[in-house]
Amino acid sequence: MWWTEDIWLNKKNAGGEERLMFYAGIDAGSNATKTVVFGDEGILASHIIKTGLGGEEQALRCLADTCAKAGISREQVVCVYGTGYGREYLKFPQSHRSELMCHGVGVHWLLPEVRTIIDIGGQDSKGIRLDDRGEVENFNMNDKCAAGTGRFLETMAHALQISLEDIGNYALLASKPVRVSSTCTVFAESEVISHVAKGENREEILLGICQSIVDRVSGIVRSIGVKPPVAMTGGVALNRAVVKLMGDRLGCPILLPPDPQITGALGAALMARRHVTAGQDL
Amino acid sequence: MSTQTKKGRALNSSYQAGNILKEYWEDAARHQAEGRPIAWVSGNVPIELFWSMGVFPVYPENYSAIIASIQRAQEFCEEAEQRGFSNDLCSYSRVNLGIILGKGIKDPGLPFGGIPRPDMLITTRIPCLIQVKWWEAVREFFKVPLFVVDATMIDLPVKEHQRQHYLGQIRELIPIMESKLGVRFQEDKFLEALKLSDEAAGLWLDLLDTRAAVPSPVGSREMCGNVFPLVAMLGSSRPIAFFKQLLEEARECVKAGKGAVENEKIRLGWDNIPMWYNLKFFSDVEDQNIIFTYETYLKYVWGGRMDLSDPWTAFANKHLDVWLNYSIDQRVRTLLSDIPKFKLDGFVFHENHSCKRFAMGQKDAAVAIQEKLGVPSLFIHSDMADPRAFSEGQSRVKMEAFIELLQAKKK
Repeated sequence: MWWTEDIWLNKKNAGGEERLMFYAGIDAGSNATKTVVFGDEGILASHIIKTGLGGEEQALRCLADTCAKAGISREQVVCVYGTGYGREYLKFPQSHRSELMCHGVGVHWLLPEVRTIIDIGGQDSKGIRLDDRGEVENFNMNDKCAAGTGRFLETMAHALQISLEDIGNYALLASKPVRVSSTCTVFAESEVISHVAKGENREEILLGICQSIVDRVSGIVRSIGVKPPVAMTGGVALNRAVVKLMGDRLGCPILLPPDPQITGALGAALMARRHVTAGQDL
Repeated sequence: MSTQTKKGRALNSSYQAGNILKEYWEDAARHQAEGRPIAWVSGNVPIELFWSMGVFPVYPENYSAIIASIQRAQEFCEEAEQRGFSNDLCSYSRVNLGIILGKGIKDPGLPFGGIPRPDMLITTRIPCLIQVKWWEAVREFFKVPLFVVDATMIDLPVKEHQRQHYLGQIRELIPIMESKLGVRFQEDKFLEALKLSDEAAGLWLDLLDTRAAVPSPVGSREMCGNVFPLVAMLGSSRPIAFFKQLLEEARECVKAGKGAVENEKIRLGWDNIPMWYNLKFFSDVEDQNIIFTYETYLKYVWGGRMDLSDPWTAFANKHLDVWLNYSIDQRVRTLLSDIPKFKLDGFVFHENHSCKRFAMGQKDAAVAIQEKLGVPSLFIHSDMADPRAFSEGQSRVKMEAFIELLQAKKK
């Protein structure tokens, strides 16, 4: 992986492989299952698969794939922590922690200066404020509506017959957004279709969709008090338009970890490591 | 330190609560069968007056909470909504209107054989404004007289003009009850009712105070089940024996260092009406060495002490001195004083969709207790009776993260 490959190769070359212990974190999200395998000094591999019907089997498959990527066997992973929406249904992790804590720990390891995290996943959007030790000091998340989440974007991508990945890129080509005012995802889909029927510019509709996400999520984040620097995580952080609009809305640049989807799994892996090395159940 | 077992009630006397509730609804039916008057009333009405005048106060709000606790609120809410009542209205009212307009208040499928028909409707603006409109809709159906006791919002101490306004309403209410219900006001009986009410309230408040002890002798789930006599029976003798037993047991537990949860580690407070269909929310937390040991709903909504050397002044003060009638500043001041007393590590605010007057000012309170006491808060958006407002997964994640935050803070 990008920031640990050298360390890993150095260890291997120095014949230190036998002494290494490995830890894993599994983020069983509503949309994607993410796994990180962590060595003594960094991330060895990460992997993301669609959750689908989820369950233990899918999570185990994701872990096995990650171990294969890392070039280690599953048995070499001494401790696994789970997080994410489906964490409680996983039997094999030694323990599990909330996504809020895991994103906090994961982001703090990658970007220690960050004080506010905006995580937008498949069905959750969260604001998390960290203190200078990386501990969660305040948080908020959507309660009961999937507007302002990845699922909203997925629905809109489907309505516009465009790939999810392209939404942000096309949206940034627009100079002004077409307003998407419905809070309900299903009604917003109808609204978008009617904009298309009226002949509105597609890029402007896409920008309106991204703006709508930012409108919802910035309210959640502001309710905890935004303290810069701010980072974004979760699948929606891959959408460049949402990131830009969020920065504009909050009036500060948004930092992005190298792979914003895996920070929850990374946090879980770091807690698994702490469990073993410090004998401390975080 | 010894501990209670996880399952079952922390205080044995709590097992009486179910019987008291059953007896109350059976007594109401018997009262009506004997040709005596029934008034449908709401929270914070001048209840002592009714008991002293032989008018049985029936609480549809309580009945809606019972319906919620047996997981039937949704069907009645939907019944009311299908007849045009918005789901933004209080869920107690929707359950009640759903019962009335659906199969009726005497449907044999209802708990306790249904709700006795009202001879009069009495409500007050003290806790709620929707209640007035709800009672107006009920009046349309039953064609019985309706009286609304008006009151001002207050900052403590209660001012003379606020008291006089309230007592003026009571002076109007008494002759109307006499003429409409064929009953008679007798001051000696009323004063006796006040004495009983004050004694019960004193016992209840002392019971709540035992929960400032570490470990706490009894948690929220159990206490929410015990509060009913305080809501509906003040002015009668029934609550006194019950609260006395609870208090004695709680004191014994405190003396013995016996906690309601094993190895109590975190203490929490709760604001707003509980989720009656989901009291498990409290017990799930208690399974993790955490106790809810303070509730604004149990401490400042029902019952209050009265200085009976000046009974009418005390009566007015007691009825106006209610959380739902407090200004935001008064609520914040109260929490700032109680949180250290009860040694709370965190506070959970239930943003109750149905009770906006209760939810008013919660954010201000959360900011104040964080800034002045360093005590963090969690907001759970849900509803007291309508289970459709509760998001199981999201609320669970929030609660889990909040506990993690508090645990990290304690390390």
